[in-house]
Amino acid sequence: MIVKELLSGNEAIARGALECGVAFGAGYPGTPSTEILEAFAKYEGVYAEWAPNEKVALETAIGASLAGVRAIAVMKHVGVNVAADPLFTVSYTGVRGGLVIVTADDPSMHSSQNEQDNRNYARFAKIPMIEPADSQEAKDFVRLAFEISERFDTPVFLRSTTRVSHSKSVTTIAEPDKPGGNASVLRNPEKYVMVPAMARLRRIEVEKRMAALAEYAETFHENKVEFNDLKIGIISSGMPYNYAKDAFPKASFLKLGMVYPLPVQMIRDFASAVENLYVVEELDPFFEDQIKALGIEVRGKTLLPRTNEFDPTIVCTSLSSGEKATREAPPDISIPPRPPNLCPGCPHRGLFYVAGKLDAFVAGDIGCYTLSYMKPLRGLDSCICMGASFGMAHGMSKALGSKGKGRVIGVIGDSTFVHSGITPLLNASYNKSDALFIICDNATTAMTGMQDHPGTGRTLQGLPSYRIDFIQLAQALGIEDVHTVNPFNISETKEILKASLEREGPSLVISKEPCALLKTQKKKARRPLMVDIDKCIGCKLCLGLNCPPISWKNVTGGFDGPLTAQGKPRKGFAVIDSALCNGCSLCMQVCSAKAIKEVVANG
Amino acid sequence: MNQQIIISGLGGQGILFLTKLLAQAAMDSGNDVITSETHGMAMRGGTVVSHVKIGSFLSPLIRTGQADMGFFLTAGSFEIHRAFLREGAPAVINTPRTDGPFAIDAAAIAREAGARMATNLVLLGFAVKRDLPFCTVSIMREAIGRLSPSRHRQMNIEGFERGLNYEGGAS
Repeated sequence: MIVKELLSGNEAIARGALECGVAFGAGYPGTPSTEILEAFAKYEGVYAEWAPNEKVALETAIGASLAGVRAIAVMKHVGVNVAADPLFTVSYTGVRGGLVIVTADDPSMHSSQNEQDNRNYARFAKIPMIEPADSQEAKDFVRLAFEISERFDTPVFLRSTTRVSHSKSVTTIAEPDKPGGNASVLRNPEKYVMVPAMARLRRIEVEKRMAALAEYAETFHENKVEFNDLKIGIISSGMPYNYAKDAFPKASFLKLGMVYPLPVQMIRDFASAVENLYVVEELDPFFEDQIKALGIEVRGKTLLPRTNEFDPTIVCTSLSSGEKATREAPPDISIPPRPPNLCPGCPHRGLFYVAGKLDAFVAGDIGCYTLSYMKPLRGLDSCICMGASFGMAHGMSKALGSKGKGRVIGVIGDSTFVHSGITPLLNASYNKSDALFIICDNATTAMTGMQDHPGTGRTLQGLPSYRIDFIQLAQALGIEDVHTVNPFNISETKEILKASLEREGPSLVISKEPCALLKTQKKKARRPLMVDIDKCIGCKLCLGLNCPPISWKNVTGGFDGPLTAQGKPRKGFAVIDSALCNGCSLCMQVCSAKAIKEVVANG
Repeated sequence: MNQQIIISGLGGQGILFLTKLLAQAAMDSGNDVITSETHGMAMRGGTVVSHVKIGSFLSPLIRTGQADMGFFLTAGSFEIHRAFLREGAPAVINTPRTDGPFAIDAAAIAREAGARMATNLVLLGFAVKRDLPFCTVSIMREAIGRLSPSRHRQMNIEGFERGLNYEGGAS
């Protein structure tokens, strides 16, 4: 019986891994890759774990591969940067059990700090890469990736993009292969110890392997030629292929399932068969540059943008008009923009309300709290990559010397701290930093949807495990001054932050309150708040919290209310949408007129 | 059959659930379907748009001016994403100003029913009753029963039924 399911690209990758007998999966959560490992972990008979970061994830997968089982490491595009060190050398050693690295790229940066095109990693690290265009292919390509990995003794990249990962389409499900029980200890230092003498030998093998793979690409059945109208020939891969095919159903296509290495002869034959050759690829001219280097005339980035993901409209208009496509301007309408914001009841709000008012540079990090950079909170001043905050704060504090006294803070989330904040904190104590370091510990990886990590004390499967104690850890790293604050208490938070800033040497403050969206928190219902409009003097201090339920109503015509602090008639008053309010009380604490109170039941 | 549906609103309004329901109903009525969604940082209260394409399509994204209908969870979302609709395509809008042919104060109806979080379902019921999406009432009703988490099932069904039975506005 054929079973069909509606699967996202990510769910399909997980299913593909199950079906082809993958025994080990590791990764670190990151949009758009997160759901792959979550879905994989739900299957019975497989092992999966959240690693503290992508480098560890890849290294554990390499270990599993060398034990003889099929292993998969899953990460978002920037995660590959973290994992790049083992990546470039496992390319030399090759594998034992198949090894596949999933890189989920994010064209348009829907939820990322940069838009790097990880196809470049395939070329750079000399690792083959295949790229599915929909969920069915995502599932099928996992099996192909493992076959290539074992046949050519190489790690293999499976590249997805946000649009493939998060689109859902109908996928045929198959019975999983019987898991191979072939794990064993096999010592082979000549192949796996990359000291220079042996790396030099493996280096030659890498070039031989890439030549063999280039030959294989010519007959790889997922590199497909579809001859149709020969006036237009389009070379494409992944999601952009779908856009082009929907826009130009009658054109001829070369769809590349393997994006590196390229099938050179196939491309030459296709190019000579069609009148006008186009490359439709998002981000870098990765195919285009290589095709041009073959001496073939082709149009790509002269017509299509280098930035952002494509859509069917942009592919259609640019190729039809033969002119560089420009994106449509957003409609000229007078509604306020809706940037993402911290949730009602978010513990970060109190911390960054305080931090933003200190006369200090706040080096931030990656997580929900990054959103606090916006007005009116203005809670942080930089965000580069996972773990950057603590290193940057230390460097800035050293560079400023006495001018930086009490004016440099590094802030990082709990999951990000575990990912890559521990070493910079060690550096801060070792090199006698004078900055203030803050861990905003909300007991989860919130931005990607509540994943566990060593600081939550639960595993990917939700099972209890050792819970890392940040205070003990900090002390072991040599940080002597450690405090814990409740970020929902503004005056306490302000007092401790100020005292820690003024102190000589590095201090650590742990701002500790769980994420409002955690199930355990949702159960602790707090009563929503409301504004007593007979008391509100219109000072707008509560609006400074940028809390979604709080809004402003202008007073129109002869309203008889309390006067402002300056004794003038108020211009309006604040209101709280009780349906959204979580009752966290921050607005109560900042209110200058004691006008905010609990909603009385049935009142 | 081919139908392209755009769903637009703010993070937290149930856009993803509406997308899931339409996709399930499409499969249950024997159609192919592709959907596309917004995840991650963009969801933290920001503008969210979802594409549902029923029938023989490859690309999950709808071209400007090609959507056959739209669900808009706020009037502002309609202004932002109306360009996806082809000319004359019905726009089902949740708005207190019920002056459009398919405008309905779904939030108020949901609130009255004690199903405040089912505004999306009210909108869906309203549209299905008017034969705007491809599917029948019974197929959609079943999809809601099956896909709703148990703690929200009653609320979702209530919202959907209120939308079905809504008499005002459009006909």
